Amino acid sequence: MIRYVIRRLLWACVLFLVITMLTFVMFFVIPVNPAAMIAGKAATPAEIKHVEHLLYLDQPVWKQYLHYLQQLFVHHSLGYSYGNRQSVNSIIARAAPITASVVIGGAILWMMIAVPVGIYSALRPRSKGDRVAMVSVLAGISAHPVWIGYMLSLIVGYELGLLPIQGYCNLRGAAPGQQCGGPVDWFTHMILPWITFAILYSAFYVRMIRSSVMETLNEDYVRTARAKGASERTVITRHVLRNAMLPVVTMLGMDIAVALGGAVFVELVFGFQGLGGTAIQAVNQFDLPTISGTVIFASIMVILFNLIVDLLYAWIDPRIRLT
Amino acid sequence: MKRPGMWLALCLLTVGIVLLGAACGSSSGGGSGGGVSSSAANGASTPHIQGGTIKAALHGGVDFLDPALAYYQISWQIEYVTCVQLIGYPDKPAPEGYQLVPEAASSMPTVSADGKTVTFTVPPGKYKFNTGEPVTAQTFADSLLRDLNPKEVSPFVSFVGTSIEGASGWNGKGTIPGVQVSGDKLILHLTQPNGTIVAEMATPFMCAIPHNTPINSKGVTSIAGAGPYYIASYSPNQSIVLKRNPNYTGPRPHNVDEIDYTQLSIDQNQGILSTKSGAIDYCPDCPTAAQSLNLYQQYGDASPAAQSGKQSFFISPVIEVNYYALNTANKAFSNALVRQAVSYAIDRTALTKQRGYKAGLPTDKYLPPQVPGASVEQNIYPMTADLNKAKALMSQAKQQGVKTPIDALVYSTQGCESCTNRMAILKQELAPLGINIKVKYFQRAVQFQEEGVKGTPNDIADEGWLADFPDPYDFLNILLSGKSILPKNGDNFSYFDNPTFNSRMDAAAKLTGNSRANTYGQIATDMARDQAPWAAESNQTNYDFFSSRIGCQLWEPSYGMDLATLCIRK
Repeated sequence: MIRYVIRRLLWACVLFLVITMLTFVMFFVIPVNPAAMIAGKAATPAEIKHVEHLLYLDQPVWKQYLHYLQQLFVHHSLGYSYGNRQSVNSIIARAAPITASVVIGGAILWMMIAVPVGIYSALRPRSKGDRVAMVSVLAGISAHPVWIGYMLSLIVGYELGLLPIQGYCNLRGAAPGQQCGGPVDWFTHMILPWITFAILYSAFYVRMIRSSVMETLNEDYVRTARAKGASERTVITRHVLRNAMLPVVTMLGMDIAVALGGAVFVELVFGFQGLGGTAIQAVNQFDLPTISGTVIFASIMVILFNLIVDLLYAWIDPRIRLT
Repeated sequence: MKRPGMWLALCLLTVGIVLLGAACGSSSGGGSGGGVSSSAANGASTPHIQGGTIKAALHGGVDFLDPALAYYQISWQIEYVTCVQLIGYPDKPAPEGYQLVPEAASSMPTVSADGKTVTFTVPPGKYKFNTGEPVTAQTFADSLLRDLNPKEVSPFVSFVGTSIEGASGWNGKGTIPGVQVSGDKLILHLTQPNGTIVAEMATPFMCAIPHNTPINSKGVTSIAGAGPYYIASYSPNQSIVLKRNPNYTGPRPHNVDEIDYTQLSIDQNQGILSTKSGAIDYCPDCPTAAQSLNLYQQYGDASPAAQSGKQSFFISPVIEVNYYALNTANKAFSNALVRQAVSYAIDRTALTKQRGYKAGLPTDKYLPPQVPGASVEQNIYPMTADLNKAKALMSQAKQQGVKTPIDALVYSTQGCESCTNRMAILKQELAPLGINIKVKYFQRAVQFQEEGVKGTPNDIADEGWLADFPDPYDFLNILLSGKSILPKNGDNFSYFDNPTFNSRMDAAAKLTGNSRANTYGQIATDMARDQAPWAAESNQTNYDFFSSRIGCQLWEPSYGMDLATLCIRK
């Protein structure tokens, strides 16, 4: 087990280096000089050169990359944004809790919808309820999250005035300049984003849970359990769900990890300066340090959640041994 | 036989209709384009309460609030109410709004006979920071030296770095001979006469900042202000709080107690909805071209809201020119007759309409109307296409050896609301002249830098230029002088390098007053008529939308909607 974890972590390091390298290379393929943007509209070549020197942009790409890694590993610094020259560490630290709020709350909501509906559909295939569920799934998959977000804001927020339509409130209390803060404001401001985020994913998960449960229901061990006289509840909970949930756990881990890298659409619609919004802004400003920072954070999340999923496997299914 | 599918379909159809109804509920009929008539100038005439808090939001945020670094239009709008400057623009509508007046200085600066010494007199203590520190001549010397310090990396260096003696190549230690303080006098020594120095000293880079403000290329987020308001707090990407400066004794208005930017990354559509519902009062960069007609009809100057004294959507002119730079260095547009033909062939009215409802005023002039000299510049080309004249010019060009068809590559902006439509119109309009255009779209920053590389393959650049200060130099010398052609990052996208015009522009740059305006106006006329390096298209306007409780809007032509005059209606 320990050897397995160590091996995975070593692979994670390799993956991490490859990702940061690719981010660097992609950035330098784009023909934009951030120094020219910083130096001003009518800057002279000497002024641009001065800024290039300060930003370390006058060095070859490989030297810049090594400098970046040195900053990262020695000083634990992701650098400073080219856009507003803030520390990328602080930008990520501010943005990550916002994205985490969206993703974790949204994941809880989508699982609360997907698990019962998926199981119900699998147990009663082609019933009225199953058909309603499947049509809803189709609608959920087809509707773009941006559209869903706007419609919810327009109807629930603006027309009915039931919920705030945009903005993030700090969980721990109002920050200077913010009109809202604290758990109640945080929760009410998160409801529409959670629903928007959950609709698409719950649609996917309903389909997946349905097919996984239906497939498991046809397994020999389920038939055997029934033949031995086990109650339907026991068959479903102990034999069917435990096995049917394996692929769901895998997907959940991956989806949460990817979404933590930036739930872009939801953040844009609801005006959250989370990781997704930060990354989009950074791309528009050719802000390499911030782009790299968000990519690194996202890749760490993917690696971490993959590891957690693998470890969970062993717990859910004792037949699986990690070697 | 049961039909569950039909029941379900009816349910879904009903839901769909409700959603569509809600989405379309606020839309109404179309309207025609026209002139800008919705600008804000009612100032403090609205009955209002004293004090209160305005809740604002931003879509694109700010770059910095440190005066040495701030360069976004929105940042300058905030600086305008938090800064005291030597000289500045008054809180008045055009034309007074773009006439410089003394602020912390007791009068306009004196310029020596040789034009190389500029002296400002600053009575000490006339203004005070919110901390109580008085504003003196030394305050402005500190501001200028901080801007020029290479460690600060201020864009202001690109404005005055070569003008002020000793600034170029300064290592940031001590002081420089070009900036001197003597008693209440701030004396600037210039390397050569510079007619724009006064306008440059009125940009927000020269905002008064407290003594000992640290040099910090990352920008100082908490900085005292001596203007009507000060920045009480700024959390990058999160919020900004402006509070009334308790020590402000100047003449500028300051109606509300506080202006809180509660969000700095609001979605534009949500920003409009939030403003309509009153959840926020103002989002300066939220209204888009797509929303402009609806907002105008509901809240513009001809709306029922305006008739009851509650106009809340304003369309106002900005100091900007949109133009098509015709690359004179490439074969396609090396002949002046072909360039003139393009200027006759384009339908400026149709092209401008694509930018949004009243989003611009068609023009063929190189200088925006707010800039000195614009009234002198003559109209040469029509607002709608004159194809016969264009074809006649092309025939003359052919006699001079120009061969058609001409294949022309256009660089335009990816993701801009009007670009694809305008490019389609341009293609249609130039085809009868035998000019076939091919368009390549770029992300804006990439486009700007690609066009600025000498030898660029593009023949037409779809461009616009927003003034840093209302002076013809910022348009003609920066954009059309041979000196602006650089190996990289140049601003002369037509690569127009005419020795006669270069020397005329250089001479005009040293002039001041009416002679400066008249000379630049004449240069612009001659250049457009004889050489036509651009086909100017329009002067841009700006949209501002407020919640119904906000009044006293005033459009300050240099910095946009004036935050200092805003008030809360009774």
